[in-house]
Amino acid sequence: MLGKLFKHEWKDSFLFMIIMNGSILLLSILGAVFFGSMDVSEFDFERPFQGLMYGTYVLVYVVGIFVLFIGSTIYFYVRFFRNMYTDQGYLMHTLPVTEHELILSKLSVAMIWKIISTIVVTFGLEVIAYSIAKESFPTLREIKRAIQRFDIEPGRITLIIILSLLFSLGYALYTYLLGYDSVSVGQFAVKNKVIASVGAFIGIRMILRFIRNLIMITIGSTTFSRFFFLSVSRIDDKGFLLAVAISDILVYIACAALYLITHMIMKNRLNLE
Amino acid sequence: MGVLVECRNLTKCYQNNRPVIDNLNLTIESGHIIGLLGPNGSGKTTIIKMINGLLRPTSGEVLIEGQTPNPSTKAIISYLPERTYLEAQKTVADIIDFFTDFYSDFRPERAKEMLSALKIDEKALLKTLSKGTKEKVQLILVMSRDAKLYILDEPIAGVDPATRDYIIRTIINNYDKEASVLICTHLISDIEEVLDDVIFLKDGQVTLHCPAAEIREKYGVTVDKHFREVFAC
Repeated sequence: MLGKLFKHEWKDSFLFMIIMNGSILLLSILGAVFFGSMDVSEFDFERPFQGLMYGTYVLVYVVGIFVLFIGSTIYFYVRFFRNMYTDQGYLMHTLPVTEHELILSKLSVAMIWKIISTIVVTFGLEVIAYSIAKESFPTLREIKRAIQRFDIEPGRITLIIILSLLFSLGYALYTYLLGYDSVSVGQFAVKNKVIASVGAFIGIRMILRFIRNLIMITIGSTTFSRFFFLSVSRIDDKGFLLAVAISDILVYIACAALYLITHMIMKNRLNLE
Repeated sequence: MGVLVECRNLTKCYQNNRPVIDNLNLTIESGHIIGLLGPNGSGKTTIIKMINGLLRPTSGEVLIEGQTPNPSTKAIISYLPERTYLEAQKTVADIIDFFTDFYSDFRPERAKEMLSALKIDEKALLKTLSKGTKEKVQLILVMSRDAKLYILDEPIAGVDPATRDYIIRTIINNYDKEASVLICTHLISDIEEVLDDVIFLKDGQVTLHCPAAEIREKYGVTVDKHFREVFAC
């Protein structure tokens, strides 16, 4: 039944998500054509028309990426809320499926779209960067150069990249599960369940951040300052590796806890009005 | 006839702790059409939701073929809620595909036949249909299954008298004689002739559970009339 739930969730979210991702892709191609048609070395920001065009494009592109990621996350939260806890819940919760299947189908489709969006944005930025720099994968090259500046053993770079990717994946999972969990907790409110869900979101997020910070401080490595100040300077590779590894563990523990709470509420405390 | 549904010492309280269902015991056997009747707030919908696993009992238990509500019990119950549960952006055909995928006992050809009889376009988006037509679509979907138990919560409340007749005929013609139909409605006179059994519910408790014919014999009035007498304000 998981496959069937996945199929319908994918089908139902396809149009919205394809429009969102397609818009960014189109915007990237337009940018590439725009920047590719001019000699960037002769670009003059002092000239009002060029400056305005450039500024407008960058603004629209940044807002577009913001809308893609934030908008799609909210879209999947709302889908979860509507499907599970409004009138549509009368259909979803009377299907011959388990609560695990309901949650996993929604989570997997949201995650796949998150990965697709990440690929679309990465590809889009590369295309724009290529049109300016006229070389392949310039942003990736820049990232590689930045890593090399930190004097990390080459063998450890791969491990750090894998752990960082795992963290990104875990954080995306965490983001969706935090939303699902908040929506489920919000159903305990007698009235204003949406407001209660938003309140639960803020509350649970604060509690989890507090726990994470406490663990980081307790373990007590200065390298964890990366997570608070977003600064990767003056850190050694062992510390960096340890910090990423602990972040991975914490984010997946948080995911497991949020998943189990959501499942428990759906299975044992479901009360559709 | 086997026992299909059993409620044992069932109690449900909402936030104010006042029991909506109060230590209720009830047995529904297969092969019956049962009217679950009671005034507003008597707990009819609450019982139905608990049978369907949409509400959890505060205490006691609901058993369907000996099991508490779970995916396998949901596979044998065909439930029509009192509200529209279909996504407005979907077409009628999409919903038929959905039911075909999830319910092995769903008969799409039967659904299409009934849609055609009621002149409902399969390609129509649900958001373009009237409230009454949406209710008809839902009823068609529910009655196109070969379920063991049909639970219909106010199936005829929002439709015109002609459609009511069609719906009642649909219920009678489409359910398996081994199955049971539990109908919850205020419009007793419209369904009275098809009822085998009647359950009267008051303040979360069963006050009467007997064959409909017994009421007519014993009290010399129709079920509708008897209901009006029992629940007179």
